Amino acid sequence: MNIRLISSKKKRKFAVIRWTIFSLLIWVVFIFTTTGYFLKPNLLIPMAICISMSEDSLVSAFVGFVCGILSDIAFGKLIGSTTLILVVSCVCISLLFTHLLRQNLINISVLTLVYSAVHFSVDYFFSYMIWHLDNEYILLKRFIIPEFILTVLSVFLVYPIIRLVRKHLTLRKHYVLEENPALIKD
Amino acid sequence: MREFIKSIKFKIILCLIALIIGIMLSSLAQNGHSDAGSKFINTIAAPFRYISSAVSQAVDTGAAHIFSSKKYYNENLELKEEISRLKNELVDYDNTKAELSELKKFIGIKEAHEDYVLSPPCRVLSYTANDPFCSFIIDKGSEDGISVADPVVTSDGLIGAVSEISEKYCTVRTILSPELSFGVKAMRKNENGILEGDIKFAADGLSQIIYLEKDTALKPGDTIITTGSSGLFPADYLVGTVKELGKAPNGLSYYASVEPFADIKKLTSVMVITSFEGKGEANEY
Repeated sequence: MNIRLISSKKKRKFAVIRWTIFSLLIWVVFIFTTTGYFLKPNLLIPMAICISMSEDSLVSAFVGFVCGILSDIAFGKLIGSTTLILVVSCVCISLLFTHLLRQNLINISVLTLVYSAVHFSVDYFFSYMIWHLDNEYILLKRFIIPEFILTVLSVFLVYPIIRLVRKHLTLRKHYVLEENPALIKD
Repeated sequence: MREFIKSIKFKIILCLIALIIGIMLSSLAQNGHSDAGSKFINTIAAPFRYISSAVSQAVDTGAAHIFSSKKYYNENLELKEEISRLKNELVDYDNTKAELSELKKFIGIKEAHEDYVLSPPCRVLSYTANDPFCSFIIDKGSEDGISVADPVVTSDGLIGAVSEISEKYCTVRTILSPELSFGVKAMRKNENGILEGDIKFAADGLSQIIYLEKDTALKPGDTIITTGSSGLFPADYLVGTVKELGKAPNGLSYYASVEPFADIKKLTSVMVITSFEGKGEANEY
């Protein structure tokens, strides 16, 4: 029996494919978000959170940066406002999953819920509440709360996709047992 | 945790956060002009948005044929009722005469449009996601002679004004937004007022005329046009019709909800009036 070590070249190749798929997914989500006039979830939030879940803190920060900038452009917010919160959150999520939490749907759903609550509260406060617009409750009822609910629910769609991509395109250092015909006795 | 804080990764993340704060401050200082990042991403995204918009519209039309039969049936009934009402009105000679007079005014508006300098037809690239006031991005910008606060229109009526601009794109703030207020008047009665969006009405695609007096002559169905006194919008451009009147929440004045002539939630192309007689004489934007 021989022990074969999976090469770093193959590992790198898989990483490139994985990140190409992640980039495409982020781009498709951005295009979907900017198409048509109907209420839709902010899919970039669960996307950033799910990717950050198994990444290093620095990589997570960059994922949060990209998703945050795209989200600000798509939702017509001040560039950087969502990005700032998302970068910090992605780093925290990465550290949480590295040191404390297990990667499963419940944990990621709870974190998406917490993040979304913070995100939509901050957004509502700075975009509408401080300007003392009349009938703010209509905004809450017809736009902010439905968007919040849709965003939290969308994690059930995004998580399996990210997990599937990661499962098939992540190679960790492990050993594979191989049979060596030279050692087989006649 | 202490190791993480001392690590180079943490310092890079801090630099990234500093960069984001810099971007935010730079965006705030742009004064109506898009920042470089938005311009770059919008330029790359434009072809994809064209495709996704086309697909979305095709799906929307197909779905409307299949799922909206009940809505069309109800609309048909409503239209039949309206036809019947109009037939009765036609019997009345005075009403017919008044309508004729109104039509003459419409012709007058058309003649007055000769002073407009219009941009090339602008395609609606995308709506701002989940914006209650329906702001949207169009595919023409300062390179086409458009500037901030230029009026945006369709042949049906007024849509809004340019709020943010870059070389090839601009963002349009619609008349549903509370951030846009301008003078309007009723066509038949010459009753003046200020049109300003409100959350309550924007959700249903309506705007409102505020600060009306109790004995206002406005009635549901009245045609609303711009006064043009401010210099932001040209005079006598069609805006919408009065839908209903009500008392303002402060109890001191009355309002009239206005249904825009153009369906602001389903725009595909618009025009920008880059110059017109009396432009910029005052600023109410």
